[in-house]
Amino acid sequence: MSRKATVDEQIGSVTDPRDYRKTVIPELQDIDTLLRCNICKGFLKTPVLTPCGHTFCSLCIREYLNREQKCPLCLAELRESMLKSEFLVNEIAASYTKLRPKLLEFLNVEKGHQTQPVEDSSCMEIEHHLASSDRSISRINEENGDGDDDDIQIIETRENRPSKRPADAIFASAKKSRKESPQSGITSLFNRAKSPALHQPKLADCPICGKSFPVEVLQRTHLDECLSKEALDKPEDISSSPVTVKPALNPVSKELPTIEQPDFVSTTHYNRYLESTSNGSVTRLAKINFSSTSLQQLKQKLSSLKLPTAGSRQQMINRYNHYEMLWNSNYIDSIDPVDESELRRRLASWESNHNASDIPSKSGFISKFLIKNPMKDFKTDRFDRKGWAQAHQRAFRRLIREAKTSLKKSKKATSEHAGSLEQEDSTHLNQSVSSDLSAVPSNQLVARKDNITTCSQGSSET
Amino acid sequence: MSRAKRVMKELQGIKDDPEAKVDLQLVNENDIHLLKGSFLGPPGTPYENGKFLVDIEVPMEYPFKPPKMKFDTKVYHPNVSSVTGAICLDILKNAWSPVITLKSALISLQALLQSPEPNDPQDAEVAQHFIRNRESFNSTAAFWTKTYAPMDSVSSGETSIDQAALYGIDRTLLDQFVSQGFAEAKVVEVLRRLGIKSMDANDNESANKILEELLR
Repeated sequence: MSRKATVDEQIGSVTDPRDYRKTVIPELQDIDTLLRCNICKGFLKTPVLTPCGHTFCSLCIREYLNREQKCPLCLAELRESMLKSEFLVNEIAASYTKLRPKLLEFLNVEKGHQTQPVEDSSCMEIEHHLASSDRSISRINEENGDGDDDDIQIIETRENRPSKRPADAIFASAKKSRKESPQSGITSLFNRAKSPALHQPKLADCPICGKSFPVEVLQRTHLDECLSKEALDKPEDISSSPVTVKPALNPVSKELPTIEQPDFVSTTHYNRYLESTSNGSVTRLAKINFSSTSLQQLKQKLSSLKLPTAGSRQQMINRYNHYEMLWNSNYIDSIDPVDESELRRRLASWESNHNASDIPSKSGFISKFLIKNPMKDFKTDRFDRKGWAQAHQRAFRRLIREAKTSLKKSKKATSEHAGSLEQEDSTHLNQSVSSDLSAVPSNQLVARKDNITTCSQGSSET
Repeated sequence: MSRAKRVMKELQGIKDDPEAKVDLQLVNENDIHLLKGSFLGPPGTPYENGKFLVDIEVPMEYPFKPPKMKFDTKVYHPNVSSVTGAICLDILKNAWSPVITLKSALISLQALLQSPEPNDPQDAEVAQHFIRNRESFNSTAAFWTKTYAPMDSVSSGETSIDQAALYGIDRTLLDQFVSQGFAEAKVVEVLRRLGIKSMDANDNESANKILEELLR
């Protein structure tokens, strides 16, 4: 698989608010967008609020404020000390991030069944039963936006109830959604609708005394009595006394089904929010005026924080600045801070990414070697020669071995070459001697022969 | 790395948006910091029906530092260098904010083509032309668009380009000196240097100045 494919896969895996455009509720993209940081475009992580009312990830805004002292959105003056933690938004974003994939999947499934006609007999029965029921249905009045919906529910009887309820669409697609996703919320709602508990008179808690009463009793008499001062003095009337309602027998099982009181379900995110407090025990890591700080002081500061002191002055400054940002974001803003060792690990990963990107990527052994081992101090006294020799012992041995073998080869080649030259010379000389002898007088022959032999000896010696 | 994540999100955002007026592509699949942006010339301008390519280099510190952008397509515009394609736009320099995306930066470039700023020019010669003779500027810009930024991405060769139209020089003025035996390229170069696009018939002073430069 090519690298292109992996990049495309990565792009495909990125979440985007537009994912909701093709679902039943496209308006959810607004919520998705609102829970994202305007700097990193990801979901808010450890969100902080600016005085101008904008929210960003703690790390994002802190990094920006290291460069500019203004809000990125409205350009209002802004300093790090002005940032306030937003624990509630943090938990909402975290909760939503977990929920998002399921929500998208569920909404896409619903979209598929939205246009299906209602043909399911069981659904039709429920529809008929709900329509013919004489009992009052307790529902929150959506029009009454300014009222306190938590305390009192507006009761709508059969007469003033809207004829077409939002639940109709849910019941219409219930059977198919049950087949496809048995754990989905709609299925459970559907099953609850089929259960005999639906036939029972609705109980509701009195917001004043906290006791359970049938809805009609609560609406007609009890609330007035509870609210009036006389009700506190005189004994309670029979009509307003708490009633234990005998539920109708289940025609199938002939057992009494229990009516569940809707308790408030507290989630982990909610609990975390309740327990969240600003961490007063840990002090803020201060900024340093590096222009008036010596190299020794800088090293001392880094070592006191258990940070590495290697590298140039600028690298150390960058290291401190980034750690200061991580520290303050973690201990000042975060709802569940991590320990220092984790912060140091994050710093190390940031530094490795940062340094690796500075070196241009080239092919070939030497450039790779340099990327792994930057030789910045190669010509200075700080360069550890022994350490270098030990680290690259294998490489040196291999190089020496290669050098020796190449030397042997070259020696062999030269000796062979010299031998072949000798043979050529001797044959050439012999031929020339024999050709010359015929033309030379006999008295000069001996002397010439001696010369030739000495020459040939000399050449062989060389 | 925040840069990689952010660029990925932006690429996805443009890919998923069917109404996007701009396009963004990776130049090399191994490099996320080199991109090629493109957009169509704004309607009702000399750049209409042109497709403009922009080279984008995303720095390591992105989105805290602005991306480096320059036109890959030759553009005749006061705020764009006609030679290098360098852009003079505040949001790509001192007015950059991490809230700005590559998509919004490309849309800003599109808006820049629609409303040039000749008082803060990148190319002084083009800016002067824009101020002095808007009609002539528009015809030159339209000619450049037709020549260098055609929609079908097949541009004609340099040899077939009309030099007079390319630099917004009056054809009759050019022919006047070419007929006297001067090379067309030389005349164009002198007229550009002197900043003369057109000339009255009885403007002897300008004519003498041009001749002086041609004979030098």
